[in-house]
Amino acid sequence: MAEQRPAERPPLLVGRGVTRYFGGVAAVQDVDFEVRAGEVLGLIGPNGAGKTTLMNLISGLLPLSRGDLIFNGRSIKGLSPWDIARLGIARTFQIVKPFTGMTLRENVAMGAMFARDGKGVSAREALEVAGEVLEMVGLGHRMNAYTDELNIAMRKRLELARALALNPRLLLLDEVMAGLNLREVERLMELVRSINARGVTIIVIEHVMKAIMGISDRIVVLHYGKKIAEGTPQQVAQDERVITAYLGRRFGQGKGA
Amino acid sequence: MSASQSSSFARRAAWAFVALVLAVAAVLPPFYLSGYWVRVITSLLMYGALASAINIMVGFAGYPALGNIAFFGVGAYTVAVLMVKYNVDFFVALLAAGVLAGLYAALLGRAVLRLRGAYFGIATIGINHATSEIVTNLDSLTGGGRGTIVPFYPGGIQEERMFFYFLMLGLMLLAVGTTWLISRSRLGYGLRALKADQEGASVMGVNTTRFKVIAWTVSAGLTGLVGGAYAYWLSFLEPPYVFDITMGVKTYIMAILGGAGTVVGPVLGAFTLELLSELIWGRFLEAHMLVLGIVVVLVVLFIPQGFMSLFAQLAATLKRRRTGEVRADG
Amino acid sequence: MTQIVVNGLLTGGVYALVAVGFSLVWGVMNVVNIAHASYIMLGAYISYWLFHLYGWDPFLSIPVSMAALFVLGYLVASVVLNRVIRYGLVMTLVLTFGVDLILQNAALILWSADYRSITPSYAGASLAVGGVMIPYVRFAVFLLALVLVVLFSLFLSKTRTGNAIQATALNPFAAQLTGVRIDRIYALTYAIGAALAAAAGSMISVIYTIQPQVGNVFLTRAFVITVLGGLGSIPGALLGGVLLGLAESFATVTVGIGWSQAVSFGLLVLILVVRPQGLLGRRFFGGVG
Repeated sequence: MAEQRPAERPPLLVGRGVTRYFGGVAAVQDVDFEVRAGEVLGLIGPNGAGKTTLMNLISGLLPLSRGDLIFNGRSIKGLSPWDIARLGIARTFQIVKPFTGMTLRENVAMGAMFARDGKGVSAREALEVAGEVLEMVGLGHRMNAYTDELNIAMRKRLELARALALNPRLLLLDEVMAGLNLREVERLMELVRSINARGVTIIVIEHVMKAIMGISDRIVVLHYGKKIAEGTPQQVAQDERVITAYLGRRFGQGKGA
Repeated sequence: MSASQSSSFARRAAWAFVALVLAVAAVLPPFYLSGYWVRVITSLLMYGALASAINIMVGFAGYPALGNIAFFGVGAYTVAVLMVKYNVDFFVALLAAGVLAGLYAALLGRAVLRLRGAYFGIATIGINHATSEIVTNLDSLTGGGRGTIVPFYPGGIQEERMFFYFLMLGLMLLAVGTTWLISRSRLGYGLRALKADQEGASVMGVNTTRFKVIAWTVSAGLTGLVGGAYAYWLSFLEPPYVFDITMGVKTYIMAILGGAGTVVGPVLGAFTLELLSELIWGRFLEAHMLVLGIVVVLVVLFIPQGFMSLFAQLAATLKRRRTGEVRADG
Repeated sequence: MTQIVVNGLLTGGVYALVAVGFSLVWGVMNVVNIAHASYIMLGAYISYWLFHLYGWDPFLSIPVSMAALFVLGYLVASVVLNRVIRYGLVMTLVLTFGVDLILQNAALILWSADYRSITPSYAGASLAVGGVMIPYVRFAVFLLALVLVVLFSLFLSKTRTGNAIQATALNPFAAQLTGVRIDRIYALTYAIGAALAAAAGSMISVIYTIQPQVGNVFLTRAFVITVLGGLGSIPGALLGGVLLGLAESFATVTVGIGWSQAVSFGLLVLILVVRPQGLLGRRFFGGVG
């Protein structure tokens, strides 16, 4: 079973009682979770369940109200986003944040320039690394284009490339497949699998059910800020609470899959 | 391959030629031109330096430091006070002016740089006025509202002209050189990224707080140096001369006019605007500021992206025309 | 002591009127209107010339200066400002700075830098209440300023146009969907701002000596008050105006008149950093991060 932790798979990120309030309202409440090195963890839940808030907490954009986050054996509570990025946690944004006024290559070079092992990497070297990463995500041919020339699928890939250039140990993907057509989703799933195969641990938020079921080793389900289920995709799909809270409604409306 | 090599050689040769012409053009004026024109060009160089300095904040970091002229005033008064009260050598005082102005920005930076966009700009205007008032009120040190006389340059008129010409030229080159270095460094990339999106930059490992403070410190330090040189050149200081918000906004407009975020754009903008206003100044002494106002309005209305964007558009059009066939089947 | 408070209150009324128009334009259009200084100055000069040439009482010329500046404001907004409003606050700030340079220097060329003042027959008279001197003119100006602020506030809350302006301030896009013509509302708002500045200018001409740069010092106060009281907030402008009037009045007595400006600006920067939503108002558009 996937959730029985083999000895060679220690947890890379552990959340203990992770809580975040927004003016008295808990967006995320007492969530315990573990992400094991090398796995793909899916994070699902209806809109407003606290998925993105959880990602913002992990990447340091929001401070924890309570609880702790331990990355690679060390608490990252209270660290700044850049410190966390340099420890090896990279992320993408649901609403892509390309650096306008910079070429794709320069966008991606940012990652290599400031990465954990990037101490002293000059801009010129970083630009070379960026070229390789862009090739990998299939944007090699648009290297010198500016971000406003890209369509949505390309922007998502750029977002991914930028995060990859950080050479992360843990990659947080916030709806990288939203707004893409079926073919693009499949190609991106392939890409995520291949990134994972290179040893990068991944947490992924996705509304495209087929995608999240297809790439996740395990899934955590959030509902109103609380964890209501956890397990393999099959287990989660059969969980009563999940079906009523989330899948039932979505599937009932025929929007899933 | 050999074709592209020879073209890159040709390009390099062309650049070297341009650089040579520029260098000659930069050195010759004080030897051949009249005192009036040397003074005019010295002031062009000064504005070139100021526009480059503000560009580091405006063009790279994306922070509209409208009140950056405060550091000009701090630099000017540092030189004045050190030379008048403590008999310090000019160059030592000048160095102190740069350092002090930079430190002032670094000190204010952590708090004030939390403000974004125009609110930062307004806060800097407030800082300029507050600093000006403080300098005015410390009159035992600064001479207050009565002003202060800075020691004259010890030398003949011709020699003095040369001195200030090359001093300002040096400072402008320092400002442009610093900008060029920044544009190619991690600092420059980090600043451009945080200009586009601070959150996005921070999760890419950019220490946005530190980068902003560094950018402001450098920008203020350069501005302070120019202010220090100006104090010695002008030899009489009053707070309204050097904490002049009109001058501050003028340098801002110069940077925008030339092209914020480019290396040489601000210098082009400064030369154009200052030459224009100098020519107008000569013709209609009284209407000088009025015409400056009209120029400001016209720039905002018609070239809000600056000269460099016009060049870039032109270049893009040419390139598209040249590579049109390649892209058509691609 | 009471005298200090009374002085502070009386000046505070004018400050509030100066700030209301400035705050309105900022709140509704997201424009920091540097030209406000020139509109104050022009209002003051209109009253001055009407008094000087035709013997009009400065209080009677207030409607004239308001009407004139309303027209000028409408023109400036519809001809230039509306075209660049989409470039954002910094660009419009620079633009209105340019407009201000033009108007101020035109005034300088036309009317020179001489200090001028209006001295109606009742200028020096004042009322003594228990040892406290209340100059009639200042008191009348104070009351009139309050009346104008209240009238303006009623206009915003009771009239259709006023409601449209408020709706635009809250959400221009939604206002547009309900059929409000944004560019016209902007021009109108800007014109009203200019007219209020002109009214303040006319009153200032009775109290202070004027010259082409007379508006600048009031503009900086409008800045401080708007930041203090909160953007676009009328009660905030009133409170901010009176607070600033009192603060300056006390600063003049305690640390000397020279420091009162430094105090204002120190306050401005401090409030921006610590409490950018002002004392009463909502958050600024840009916010902090």
